[in-house]
Amino acid sequence: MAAIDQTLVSGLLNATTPTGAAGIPGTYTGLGGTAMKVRLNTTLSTPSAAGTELTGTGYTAGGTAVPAASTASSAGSAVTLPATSALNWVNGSGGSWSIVSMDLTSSAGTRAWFGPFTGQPVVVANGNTFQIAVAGVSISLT
Amino acid sequence: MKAYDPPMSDIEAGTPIGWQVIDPDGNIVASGPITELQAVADYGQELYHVEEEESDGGN
Repeated sequence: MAAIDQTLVSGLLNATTPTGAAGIPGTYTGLGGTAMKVRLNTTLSTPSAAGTELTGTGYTAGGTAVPAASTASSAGSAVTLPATSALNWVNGSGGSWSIVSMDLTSSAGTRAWFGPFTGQPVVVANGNTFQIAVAGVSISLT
Repeated sequence: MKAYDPPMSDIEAGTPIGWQVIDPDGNIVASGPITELQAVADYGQELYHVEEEESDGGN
C-alpha cells in the first residue's frame, strides 16, 4: 500500500499536538529548505525504509530534484508533481532497469512519501527513457 | 537523443498517464496511470466499529 514514512508520521503528530515545552505544539523541520527529490527504487519501499535505490548510468544516486513548485493543497485537495515538466531518466547502464517504487525525499534524502508504480515492475531497456509525466504523482491524505 | 514531447492525444485520451517508457525514437513502449502516494487514516474508523459492536452486544 502506498503510504507515509514513519518519521514523517511522528513529525506531523508532534507538530500538531502539545509535545513541545509547557504544552505548546512540537516542531518538525526535517525536510529542509531546498528542492525535494524523486528517488527511484528496484524494490518496494516500506513505511520504515526506502526500497533498494536504482543504480547505473542515467540515474543519479539520491534521486532527481523536482524542478518547480507544485500547486499547494487547498481544502484538502491532493498535491501533484512534477508541476510543469516531466521527469526523465535515460537508461545508459548497458542493461535493463526494473523500477518498482519511488520515494519523495528532502534534498538530503529524508523520506516523506513513498509508493509503488502501478504496473510495477517497470522494465526500461537500455537506451530507453523512464518518464514521470506532469502531475504523474498524486499525494493526498484521506 | 531528441527530447520527447508527448502528443496531447496521449494525455487527453483515457486514463491519465502517470509514467511511460519511451524508446530512442520517441515511441511509447509502456505506460501506466498516475501513481498515488497516500496515507490511510483508518484507525478512528476501526475504533468506531469496535465501540459499535460492544454497544450492540450490550443490548
